[in-house]
Amino acid sequence: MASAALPVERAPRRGAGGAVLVAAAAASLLWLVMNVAPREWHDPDADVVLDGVHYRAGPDELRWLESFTAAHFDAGENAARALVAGEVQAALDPLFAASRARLPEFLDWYYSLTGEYSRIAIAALEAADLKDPGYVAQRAAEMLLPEEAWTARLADLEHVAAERLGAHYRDVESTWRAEVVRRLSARRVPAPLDTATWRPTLELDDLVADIVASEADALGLRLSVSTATAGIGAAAAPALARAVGARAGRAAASRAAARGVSRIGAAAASGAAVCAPGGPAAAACALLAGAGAWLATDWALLRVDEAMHRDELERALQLALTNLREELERELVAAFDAAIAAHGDAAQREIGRTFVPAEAGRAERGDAGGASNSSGSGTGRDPDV
Amino acid sequence: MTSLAFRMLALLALAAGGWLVHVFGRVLPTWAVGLAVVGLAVPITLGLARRGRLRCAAFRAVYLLPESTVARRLGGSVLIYVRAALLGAFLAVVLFAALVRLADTAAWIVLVVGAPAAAAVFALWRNGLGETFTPRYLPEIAWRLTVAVVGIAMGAVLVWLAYHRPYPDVAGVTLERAVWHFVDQERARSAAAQILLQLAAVKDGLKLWIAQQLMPEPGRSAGQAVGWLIVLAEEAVFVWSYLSFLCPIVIGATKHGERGVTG
Repeated sequence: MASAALPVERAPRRGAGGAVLVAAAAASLLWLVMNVAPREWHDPDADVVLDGVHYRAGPDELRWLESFTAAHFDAGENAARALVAGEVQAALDPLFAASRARLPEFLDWYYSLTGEYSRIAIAALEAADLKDPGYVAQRAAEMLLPEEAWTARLADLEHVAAERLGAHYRDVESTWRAEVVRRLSARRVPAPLDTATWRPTLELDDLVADIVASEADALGLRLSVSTATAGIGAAAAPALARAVGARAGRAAASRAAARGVSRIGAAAASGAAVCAPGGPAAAACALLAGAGAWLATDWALLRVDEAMHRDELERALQLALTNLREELERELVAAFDAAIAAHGDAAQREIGRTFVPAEAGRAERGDAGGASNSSGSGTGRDPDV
Repeated sequence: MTSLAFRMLALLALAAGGWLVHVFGRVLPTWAVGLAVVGLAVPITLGLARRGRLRCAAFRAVYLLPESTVARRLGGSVLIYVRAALLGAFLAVVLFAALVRLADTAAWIVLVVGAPAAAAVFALWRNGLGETFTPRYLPEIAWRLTVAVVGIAMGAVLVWLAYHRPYPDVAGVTLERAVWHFVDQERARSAAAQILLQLAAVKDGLKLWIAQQLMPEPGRSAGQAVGWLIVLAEEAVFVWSYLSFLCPIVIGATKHGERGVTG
């Protein structure tokens, strides 16, 4: 009896056990389905956007694009420096040519009685602390480098250099754009429907916009050029003063020594000789004759001084102008270089920042072999078939 | 353990295999993709071949004399297996792409539940029709009715899920851009698998673009809803290939039924 009942009891038990097993297996599989995400494969291509057109660039293209972009804008920066140096030279050449052309005029004034007595009068005022020193240098600066010529020429330089730099940067940008488009044209793709994409995206339009913005910022540094030129303008007088002062100091000393001996004697002698028979008018006559002799002596001494020292003074002034020009050129080029370097640094920073997503994509590819778990558990995915 | 429970477990194992294809399909090398496709093709081919032999045996039993020359030559084994292999290979490729791209968890739940359900429904039909149909034809008719019930139920749920799934708006974009949107999202380690997935994506893009051009506002009218249902009826192909994948486990060995005619 017992042995006959066993199969009857085991059958439902086996069925229940099987059902439990099936339920457990189904539940396990359902848990896996709902909680384990599929492994994703990321290809290393990045989405490159230029002029609103999308391109697909692989690691090789990205490496080329990054190095080409950095090198191209770096070369553009060097070319900008050369361009600015040429512009500065072109602006200073006529300015200093005009200064040199005015040198004889200054020397004529310097060796004239007017100039001589102006210097004597100003020296007297300087000695009485009624006037600041440096009259001759100031006069030289006014005659050789008149302020209106300075300001006009340098304002023109600033304007022209800014225009040329702007055109140069536009040319650099357009050649860069043309080369990039030429290189990537075979990998052009339609624009994605939405901007949210798992691909690393290189917004070259943003890069270009940022570089243009940094260019505007850099050209805004033109103010530093103006400041530099103003400083140089102020430095022109001292530079010329050193040249004029060295020569004039020695000439004036020799003239003063000569005058000290000759003027009084010449005036007394000429007054006595000319006015002796004059009677009561002799005193007035002696004063006039003495003054005339004084002027004649000064004129004669100036002529002697001019004959002895004019060439030397002219050479000193030429040298001073040359040194001043070099100093001014250095300062101007340095001011423009600062602006160009600021632009170049900003451009390189933007290039580095722009290529970070591509670098990240490459790193991810290298680390994980392109495979990774997707973040979600499967909801909201693509259409199935 | 009962035979039904054993079959259900085996079907869950097959469903798990399909899910593994989904999980790892994109990161498999080409040779592994080939193995996966073969792994899908073999059960489909076996199921098709067994059903073909059943139908052939039933035909011989009804229409041919056992001792006739035609009955002896109409064994059908080679031709049935070749035909089943070709169809199985095609369905396996379709199923591979579909399984890898099936990203909806709810749809996966349908597939997992559908596997043991197919065995249960098949058992019900087999028991219910056992006194009506001959043993030789019983597996085939039970399978057909199982496909009708389970397949329609799965297809209906999948279509319902697809109908309520959010799709990108491609009504205002070019066909090229719409297709590229789908193609661009497909990536796989194996170049062959990637091409396969991208071809499926092209089909999706084309389907959705045409659907949204012709029926730009789904849900506005019953006609448009029917149009969307027609567009999404391709789910049936997927369900058919999936059930074919399960078929050999569901119907089990058919040698006994075939032997009765040929022996």
